[in-house]
Amino acid sequence: MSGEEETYLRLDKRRRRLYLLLIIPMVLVAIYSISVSLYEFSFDEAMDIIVRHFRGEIKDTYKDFLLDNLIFEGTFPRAVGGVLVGAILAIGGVMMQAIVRNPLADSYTTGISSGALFGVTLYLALDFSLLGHMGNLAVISNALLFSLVPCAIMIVFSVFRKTTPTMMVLVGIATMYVFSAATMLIKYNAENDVIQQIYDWSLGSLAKVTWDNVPYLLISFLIIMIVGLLIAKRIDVLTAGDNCATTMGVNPSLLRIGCLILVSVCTAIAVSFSGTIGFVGLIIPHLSRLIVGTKTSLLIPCSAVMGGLLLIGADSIARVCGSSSLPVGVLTAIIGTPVFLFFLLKTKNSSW
Amino acid sequence: MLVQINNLGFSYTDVPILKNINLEFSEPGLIAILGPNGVGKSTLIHCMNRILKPTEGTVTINGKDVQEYHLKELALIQGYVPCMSVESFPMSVVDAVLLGRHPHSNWKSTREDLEIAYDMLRAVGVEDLAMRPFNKLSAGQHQKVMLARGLAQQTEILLLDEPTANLDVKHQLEVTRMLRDFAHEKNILVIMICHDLNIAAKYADEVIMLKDGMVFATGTADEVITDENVSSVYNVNCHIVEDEGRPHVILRDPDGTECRAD
Repeated sequence: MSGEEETYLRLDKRRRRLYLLLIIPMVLVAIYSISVSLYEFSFDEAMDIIVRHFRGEIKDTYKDFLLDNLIFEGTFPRAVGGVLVGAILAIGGVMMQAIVRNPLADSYTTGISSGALFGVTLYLALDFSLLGHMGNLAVISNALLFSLVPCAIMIVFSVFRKTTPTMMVLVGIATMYVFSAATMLIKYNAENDVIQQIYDWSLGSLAKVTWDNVPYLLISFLIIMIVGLLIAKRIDVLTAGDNCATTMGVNPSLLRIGCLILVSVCTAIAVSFSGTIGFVGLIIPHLSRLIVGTKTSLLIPCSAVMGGLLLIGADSIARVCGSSSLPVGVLTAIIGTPVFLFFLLKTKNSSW
Repeated sequence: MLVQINNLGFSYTDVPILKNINLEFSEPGLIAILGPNGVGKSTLIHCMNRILKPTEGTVTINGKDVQEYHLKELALIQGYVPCMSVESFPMSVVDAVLLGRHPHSNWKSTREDLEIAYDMLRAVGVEDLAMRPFNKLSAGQHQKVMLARGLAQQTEILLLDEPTANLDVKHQLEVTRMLRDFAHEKNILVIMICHDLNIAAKYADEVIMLKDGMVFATGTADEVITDENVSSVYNVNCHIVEDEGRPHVILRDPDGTECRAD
């Protein structure tokens, strides 16, 4: 073993340590975000309430009772859910960019977001739901099921011909236009308050996340993370091109469809609880690439941490903006883009 | 090893590209496939490594149809170096070569994989590029790195699509000589597509010449690279001389100015 191999291994180790280090700020920001709310209470107060809640101590005052409620029904699940949603979107972005071999891809590339919005519009405006009329559950199930339609179309396509990256993007764009047009049409004839509701949902926000959602988010995070890490090397091989991948033992069409299903389902679950939050899935993979290089096995965990950090950080700021909070989707774009452009400019050997 | 190509035919539409190809390779060595543009050289190689599925006939390796191999199993005995690679994310040169180790390891690259990757980079003489981004190399450097990746796969059969296309004359000689030596030392079958008749003539143990989607001639360079064959297959006027014991093609253009293929 000569010095060159050692240098490579050292660099690899350093990159691994770098994203592990990033877990610390992510956890700190997430914990701090529990005390961030339009209602004023301090970080110490919040921690005190949490400790007492877990000890099972009786809330002495009405204020404590309110705070306990605010934290455990609001900011606490929101912090956990926010980190998970950010991580899922970011990992989805990494995988999408790799399988369609396109830096502009994100976890919504195949039309997931427009499908979800169409599903929600159908329920809110026309009272049509695939799973009965159960209020919030109908919204979520409609969002979930319709966001999987583009993926289903791709699977049908893949039976008849090979799934090339360009075809995947084109199918995604085509379904997106159809869904958007259908959504417009319904909105055109809808009442004003319904339009407002649809609009609110389309903005994307973590405010709706409750403890009931957390298990679903956790499961889909674990699935996309673990499966992603298991197939990370195959994804790397795929970026060498379909022909090369075939001769290196990877079936490109199969892997692409597999990844598409994985990303679609996991992203759809996140989207159905949070609405469409943009830019996390697009920008985090690029930022992570600047930190840990292009190996998918490093990109996935690094993006998960970065995605969680960005989303919960942006959400904390969004919560206290203005008199009635801002939707986090707006802020991720406003904060994320300049940061991203700055890094892109600073790195000479960067991607594009 | 035993590679048999039986009655192989391939067509994208109604127009056949390959027709009735019968070839057999049982000895290690460097084989050069020659033929004009569009004759089906790449198609032939793609039918051998499952990038394409033959529309007629079979390709068997050690008695088993390649279509029946598991892709990973096939990748352990047969490697491939493409003519051009797709633009992708800027991975480092070492990482690009490490991809070639994929069939051997499962979910993590080992230290041994890394050593082999570096050894192959040294073998093709580009170890100084190791940490550079793969997509920022010159065409020639790029080609050498892809060659290193093919070698790192450590297969007993290696297929190469124009491995010398982007190289200068010195490197064309070096790379082709290295491929020949590699074939003889490690007992592997190296099949390369080549457009330079003189490079093929100088190093190849066997030459296969294709015309109109069929095998036109096979044999040693002396037997295949003749005045009649070259003028018939490429439809050019040429003169063949002997140099260093091998045929050397001098191209002629009686209607225009004279030029040499070198």
